[in-house]
This record gives sequence, structure tokens and C-alpha cells, in this order.
Amino acid sequence: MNVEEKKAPIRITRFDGLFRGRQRLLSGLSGVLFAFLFIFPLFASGFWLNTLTSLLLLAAMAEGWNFIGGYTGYAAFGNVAFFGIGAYGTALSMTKLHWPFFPGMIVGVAAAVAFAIVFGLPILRLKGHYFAIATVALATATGEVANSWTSFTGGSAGITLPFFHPMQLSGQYFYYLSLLLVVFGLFLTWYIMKRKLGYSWVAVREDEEAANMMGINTTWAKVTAFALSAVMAGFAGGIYAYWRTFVLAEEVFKIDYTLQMILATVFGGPGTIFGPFIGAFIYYILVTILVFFLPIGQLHATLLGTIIILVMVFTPKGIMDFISGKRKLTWRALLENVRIYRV
Amino acid sequence: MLKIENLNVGYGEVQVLWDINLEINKSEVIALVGSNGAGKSTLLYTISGLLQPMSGSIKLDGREISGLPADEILHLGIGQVPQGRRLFAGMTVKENIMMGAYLRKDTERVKEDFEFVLSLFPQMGERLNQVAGSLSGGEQQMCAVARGLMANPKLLLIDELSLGLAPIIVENIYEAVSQVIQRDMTVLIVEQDVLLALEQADRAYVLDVGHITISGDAKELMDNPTIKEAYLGV
Repeated sequence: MNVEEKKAPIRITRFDGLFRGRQRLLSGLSGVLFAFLFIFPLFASGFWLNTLTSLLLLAAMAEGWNFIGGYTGYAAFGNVAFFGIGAYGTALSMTKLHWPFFPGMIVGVAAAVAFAIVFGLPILRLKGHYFAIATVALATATGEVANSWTSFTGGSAGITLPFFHPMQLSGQYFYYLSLLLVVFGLFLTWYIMKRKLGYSWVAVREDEEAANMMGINTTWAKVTAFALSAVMAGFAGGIYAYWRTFVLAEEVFKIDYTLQMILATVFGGPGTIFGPFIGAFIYYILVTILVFFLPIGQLHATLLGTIIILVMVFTPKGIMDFISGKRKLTWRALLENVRIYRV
Repeated sequence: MLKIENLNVGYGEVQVLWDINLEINKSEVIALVGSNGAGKSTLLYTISGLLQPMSGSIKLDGREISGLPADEILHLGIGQVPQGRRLFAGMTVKENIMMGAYLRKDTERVKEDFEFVLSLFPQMGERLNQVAGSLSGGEQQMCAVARGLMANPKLLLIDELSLGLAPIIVENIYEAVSQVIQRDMTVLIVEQDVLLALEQADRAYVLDVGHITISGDAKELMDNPTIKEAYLGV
């Protein structure tokens, strides 16, 4: 027998794609999830269809947040601004200009992207807490403008959009549209992570100055991450506006949306392709169980908060770490985690 | 190829470098030595465009480069191996090395250069898929040098290569660097370890609290009484 030691040849490709963990397992898991999501409207409607649509919109926004927060490592706390601008842009184009939905939504997304670029250029120079605070302030200020500029946005009266026809298909229509957006987000993430742009984001996250030394235009890298997260949230806002047929500043600029995006991403695993998508599921399942199935009344928020803290303490890199087998769910491993992250 | 004239650099109002004049010819190895806080790294950062000078000029092959952004300067041919390695800890060794070639479009040459740096550092070939953060200090420094070489710069700036490493490893890495020098690369070595730097270099500059005080042939400087007293401890 020929027992020759076979050495795997070194593949010399420049950008293999920054994929971590067990990709085959994860794509299999997501495949099952998508098969379920695809046929879901056949046996569910009303409440559950609406809940799933909200979940998918959250997943899409989380995928967007993952670009700036997960891959580029900038703690953006104002991504709801893109959602709100997307919703308002769509609503205003459809009511004031009487445009159809799709061109209207494109206007909303374009406005969100323009906003991300114009304000991203100055605030992405800030780091750490300063950047986080600036994004919160930006989102709050934008919401205030939408709320007060009565002649343009309708102010606190909101904007009522035309209904979708035919009405009885409305639920399915927006559900599948949201599902399409989620798939688009996954594809976009995968595509970027196989390219220079993805590498530049991760390099900025790992060491921004070293990234600069490698010849990466870090400003460009950060602004594209910010703008692409605006694309995802902008589309989600547009779908939301037409789906709910009503847009109100207090609702679409709620900081809760930002927090949900971050939680979904962190639950699932920031800086991974499927993390935000799976994290959105985990988050929704958690909230649904707490709010609807546990007889604890108003205590559910307290319990949710407690669970979030525990998740942060014990799985700082998200569920993804367990799925990919990098971390074991044992007491010793958890305590080790606490030690490493100095919680 | 590189000519620095009357360069003044500072952070905010604090001036760190005063009237620096320095010249590097093609295929030379220049050592820039000096003690902690003398401004060595500041000078490197200014050359590579990460810091903007207050006044003075930096010319690469006759072209003024001071004030250009870092990516532009790298594109013109000045690469850097930064102090403290500064690897991308979450990326694999291979990804780190390839990041050095980020700006290059000549993919075929990149592949050749990749094979070349692996032949310089065979250990890297065994660890290509390992995350850079998990390497030992010496291996990290090899990875950082490999990454710097992948930009295929005309002039490579190497900052404090020996910092925190065992002498035998430092020797290994400098051995690899000297092979690179034979391939017609010009190198500026910044070192705190003066003797080590003078051994590697053709010429040297001594930086003392922001001023260049001594310069000349590296071998002659080893016999210079001032240097012997101040830096070599003999």
C-alpha cells in the first residue's frame, strides 16, 4: 500500500470570503428555516402572519445593522433613523406625488442612503462611545424634525397611505416582500464578504489604523457600511409604511427598533452571515413566549431584560458560537466567558 | 529615492520632530535609532501619511508626498510594518498576509509574491488558516513582515521589529529581511536596539529628542564614542 503523506495544496486566492464557523451546517439550518417560511402563509394568517412579517422586517434591519455594527465594529445606535426616513420617503412619494409603491420605496431608500452618507461622513470620524452617542442624537433629532415639520410630514397627525389592492391578499403580499428583503440581505452580506469591501470592513473593526496602513480608505469603508445598513433599514421602512398604511414619527423613529436590531444581531452573532437572521427568530420567540404565553402580566419586560443581561454575560458572541461548536454550554465554559470579558 | 527636508511634526501644539533632514538612496538599508520617545515612530507615521507634518517636505523620487493620504502613499510605494505588529487578530494568517496586497491589482504577481513570502517564512505556510491572534509573538512578527512585503513596496519601513521577541527569533526575521533586501527593496529600519540596527544597516541616523544628532556609515557609527557611551553601553 502506498502510504504517502498527502499535503493539501495551498490554494492561492486573494479573497476566499470571510466566513467563519460551520457554513454547511448553518446554510442547512437556514435552508430548513426558509422552506418553513416559504410555505408558512399556506396554513397561517392574521395574527401569526403579521407577527412573522414584523419578524422578517426586523431580520432585514438586523442584517443591515450587522454591516456597520457587526462587521465594521461601529456601535451605531441610530439605525432607526434609516427606517423612519425610508417609511416617510415612501409615504410622501405615494401621497404627495401619487407615485406607485415601488418607485416610492426607492425614493425612501435613496433618502435614507443620502442621509447616511451626509451624516456618516462627519460622525464616523468619532469612535467608541462618542460615535454611539452621536448616532442616538441623530436619530432622535431626525424623529423630532419629522414630528414637528407639520406642513411636510403631517406632524403628529401622521400620513395615511392608500390601501393595497386586493385587500385579502395584503397579508401574504407584504409577508413575501419582507421575506424577499431578508433573502436579499443574506445574499448581499455573502457577496460583500467575498470581496475587498468586506475585508476592508473587518480590517477596520480589527485595527483601524493598521487598515489605513494597508492602503484601505477607512472613511470610504465605514461610509459604505453605514450606507448599506441604511439600504436594508430603508427598504424595511418602505414595506412597513405601505403594509401598515399609516406613518407616524413617534412610531417609526422609536429607539426600540434600533435596540431590537442590535439585540437580534448580538443574539445571533455579530459579524456572521446568518447571525442576524437567526437572532431575529430567537428574539421574537423569546418575546412571544414572554408576552403571550406566560401569565406574568407586566412582568414580562423585567424578565426580558433579565434574559438579555444573561445572554450578554454568557454568550457575548451570540448563539452562533454554540452552533459552530466553538463554545460549549457548560458551567465552566460560561464562567470562563465571564472571566474573559470581565463582566 | 526618499528625501526629507526641514521636516517639523507635532501633535496639536506639542512639537515632536524638529528640522529633520534625511535621505535614503535606492537599495540602501537605513537604520533610524534612538531611545524611547525620541520621535522615531512619529517620523515613520509622517512618512507613511498617517500624520501630517507642520512644515517641511518629503519627496519620493522627486515627487512631494507630504500631506497625501496614507492609501495614496502606499500606492506610490511606501509600505510599513508597524510597531507592535498590529495584525488583524480575527483574520487568519493567510487573510492577514493578503491584506498587505489590498491595493494591488496584478493578481498573478500577488500569487508569486505570496509564494515568495511563504518561502521566507515557512512557518507561516503551516499556519495559514489559523487566526492571527492565536500565534506566538515571533510568529505574529513574521506574519506582520510578510504582510508588509505583500504590498511590494519600493521602500519598506520596519518599526521596532525586535520588540519583545527572543534574540534568536529576531535574528531569523532579520535573516529573512536581508533576503528581501537582495531583491532590490529599500528598507528603513527603526530600532531601539541600536547595535542590532547598526549591524543590519548601510547607513544610520540617530534621533535624539526630536533632532537628528548623528548620521553616517553604520559600521563607523559602531565605533563612534558618543554612540558607544550613550546606546551601546560599552
